[in-house]
Amino acid sequence: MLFGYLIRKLRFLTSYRNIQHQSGNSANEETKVEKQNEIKIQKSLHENLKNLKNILCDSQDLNVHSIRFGSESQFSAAIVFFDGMIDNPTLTDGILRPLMLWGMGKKEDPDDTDLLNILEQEVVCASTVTKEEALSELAAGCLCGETVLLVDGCMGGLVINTKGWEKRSVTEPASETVVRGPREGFTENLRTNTSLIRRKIRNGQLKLEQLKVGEKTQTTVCLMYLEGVANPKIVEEVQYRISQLDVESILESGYIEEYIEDAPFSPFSTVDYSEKPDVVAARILEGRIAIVVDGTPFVLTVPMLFIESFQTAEDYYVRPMYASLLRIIRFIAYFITVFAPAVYIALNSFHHELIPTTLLFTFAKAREGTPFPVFVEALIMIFAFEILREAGVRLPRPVGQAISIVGALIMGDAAVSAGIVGAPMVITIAITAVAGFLVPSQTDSGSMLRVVMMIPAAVLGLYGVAFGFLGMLVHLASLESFGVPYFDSFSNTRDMQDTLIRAPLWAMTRRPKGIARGDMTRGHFFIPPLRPFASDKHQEDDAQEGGES
Amino acid sequence: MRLDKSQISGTRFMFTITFFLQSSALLTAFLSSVAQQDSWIPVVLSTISCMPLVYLFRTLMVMFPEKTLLEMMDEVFGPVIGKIFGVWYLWFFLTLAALNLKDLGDFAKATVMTETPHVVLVLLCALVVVWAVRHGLKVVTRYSALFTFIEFGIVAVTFVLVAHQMDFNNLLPAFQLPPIKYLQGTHLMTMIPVGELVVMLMLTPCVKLSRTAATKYWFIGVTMGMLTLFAILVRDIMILGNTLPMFTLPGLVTMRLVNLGEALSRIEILFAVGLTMLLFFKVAVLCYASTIALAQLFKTKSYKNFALIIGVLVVVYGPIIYSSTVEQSTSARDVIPFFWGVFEVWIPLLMFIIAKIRKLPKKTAENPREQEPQPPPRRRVKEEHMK
Repeated sequence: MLFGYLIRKLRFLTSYRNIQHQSGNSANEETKVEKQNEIKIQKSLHENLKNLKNILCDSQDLNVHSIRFGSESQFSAAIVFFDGMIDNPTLTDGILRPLMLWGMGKKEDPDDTDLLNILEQEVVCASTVTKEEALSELAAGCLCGETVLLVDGCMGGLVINTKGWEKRSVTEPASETVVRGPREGFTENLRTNTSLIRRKIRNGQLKLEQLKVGEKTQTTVCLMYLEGVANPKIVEEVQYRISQLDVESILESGYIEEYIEDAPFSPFSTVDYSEKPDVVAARILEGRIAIVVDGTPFVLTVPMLFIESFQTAEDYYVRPMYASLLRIIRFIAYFITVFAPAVYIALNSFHHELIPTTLLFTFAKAREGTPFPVFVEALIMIFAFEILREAGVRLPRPVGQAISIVGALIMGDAAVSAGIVGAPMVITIAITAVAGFLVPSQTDSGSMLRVVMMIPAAVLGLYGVAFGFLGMLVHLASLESFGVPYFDSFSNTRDMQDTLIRAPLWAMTRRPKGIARGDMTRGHFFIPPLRPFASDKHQEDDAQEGGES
Repeated sequence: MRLDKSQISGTRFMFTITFFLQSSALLTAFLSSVAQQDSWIPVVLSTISCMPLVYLFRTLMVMFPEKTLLEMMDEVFGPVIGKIFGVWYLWFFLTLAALNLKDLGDFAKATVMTETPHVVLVLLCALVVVWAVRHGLKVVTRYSALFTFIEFGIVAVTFVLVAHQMDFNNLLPAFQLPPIKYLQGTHLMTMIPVGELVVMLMLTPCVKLSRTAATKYWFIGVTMGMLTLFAILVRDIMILGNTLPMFTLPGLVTMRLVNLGEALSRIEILFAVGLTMLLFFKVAVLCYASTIALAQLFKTKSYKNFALIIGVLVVVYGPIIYSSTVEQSTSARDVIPFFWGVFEVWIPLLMFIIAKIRKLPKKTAENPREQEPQPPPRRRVKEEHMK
């Protein structure tokens, strides 16, 4: 509430300042635009090269290679590219060789106006060749890893696709490993990622839209969704939010996430991400929209529902009963990771009568030698655990073992025997910490909320925990992700097929209600026969055999 | 003018009604002090006798589909008398909310937190309620279905667990009390849980219902709620018998008796969970109604900032209504049912009659609910941007 108020005021202030700024600078900007327009392409190759180098600040990795070609080498030209951004064999085979060999047996030479067209259509061998007449476009082409061909005497240049740079190959993602299921993961290359998704969904309805975001980085951002399945309103909303971005740089999809999410001050994230093509493909098939950002293997998907954190790819690859069991375990684990320390504090400080007597004695014995109140004890342990976890993530791998030894022996055992914390507390925090990892995408919200929940528990006992829980439910109910209620699947009876349990695949015939529009059915409902491949003949055989025996 | 833009579905509205009734189910002491071991008879009788009342509410809702109770009164009685009645209703909702919140605080203080000041317990609940109310009806009623099913589950589970201790003889002697007691009990049940549903008229603009759907959801909702009440009362009577009127919270005592071997005992925590949930929800709905009422009385454009004011009022108003628990239960038995009748029966009935005489609502010859609903004007500005 308070944050919302502050943000409204801030937004008003900044917009007010922007308006003033713009009105003051409008004259200035016009001259700037004119200046850019001034640099036009000219007939002279020398002039063009000079201007192009000027635009690109005469960078050292800009390669300019002058060539002469034609039947009598009468045309002089230059190819311009950035070193390391292009694929050398393509450059040689697709551009240089055809150019050198062209015109050997020709009798008449084309004039200057036709020359570029002929080069574009007949000579250069590359997947895409475009003719551009603005120098800024040519420069932009160079920056993308394309090769620019300028010919003396021609008003224009060719931008030829020769993109090729070092990239990581498709490997198993480190963050989402599976026992069963495809092992490929996204890479840092946008095209590889989109092709990985398209290879999963070979359908013409899969639509891809490209946007450029970031004033300096010019990062390509792709939206992928199933036309006719995804809700057009949500698609429009996503397009609007991304196209409105006025930022300098986008280095990772986390940037996009932070700029477009609905609830920036909530502990729960309202945009989901994945590193696995099969997960993203499944979400697209449910009617969600994938946002692929160049330069990162993490693909965002919107809208996100709370339940998505509890669904893993493997749920759908193993048999439904076991998958349902796992999912219920995940719910309990999340509950534990948020509420276990709070409940322990509440029981220990207020509700001794609720603990079985023998356990109470154990607790009392453990509490006897410890100096701090149970709340402080819990804080110390949680803090220590978070430190250990962070250290484990950041440290180089060989040192990691040392950390685990320090954590296990010193933090656990020694702290108890030295009498700083009680053994039951160590157990509580340990189960809390381990349970948190069962739901990876809610780890952050879990570790924040468990500290928040400890406060009402320390003040008002279980009564406080109950209202902390109700408050959390209220907050969850108030969240929305791109117009879809975040907690919808729990109050929508029709989506129950994939919440608390995972129904068999043949029973999940409808897409989630809140997300998809239009084509809602996934397939026909059918109950698989007990022996799907048993034809009538075999059944007769069986019957006969049965009769004989 | 609609203050709250959120829309809830008919099913959710139905569960809201059910849950609202269920929340009275755990506090039936005042009924059992009147009708003793025959308490289940007034429940059955009142289920029948409340139907005309429910039909009245449903009719008002269908007649003025875009208006809350206060706006209806403005239209029917005219702005001046409508406003006077509006202030009365605001007081009525506030009192109900304060009483229910006080009940919750009393329960918590009596059972778990004996040394904590009452106001602290109540304040925490009020804060969460205010938070929910600020987010609108969507959030307030979000969990109605879930909570209803949990409540059904709790009743069913306890029914099974105490089955072996039930004694049908506890229901005897039946029909032995003087008839006036049954009448009083029926009147009580009609006024206190069912009549309070008048608060649902404050939610009207947020619920999209056709005429038939309104009838369906109102009656199913009320019936489900009364069934729960009936089940709980029968269970408690069969377990506790004649001792029933001695307890302020018979449900808690019943659950305390559950003892199946070593494994299942001390499940009265379930009762506590249920009660907290139920009263929280009821207070939230009542606070929401008061907030909307306050905002409409002052003709403001937003209601959100009133939520905190209502929350504070409810917290400070609760403890000063009655000086003692005895006074509260006496008044709940003898005074309140007649007094609340003014708000729950007579004013709505008067409104209905006057509306019929004045042939209101005028403009809408047909039911506007059955016309094509307009698409919400969300995103209008942004669409222009896109172009």
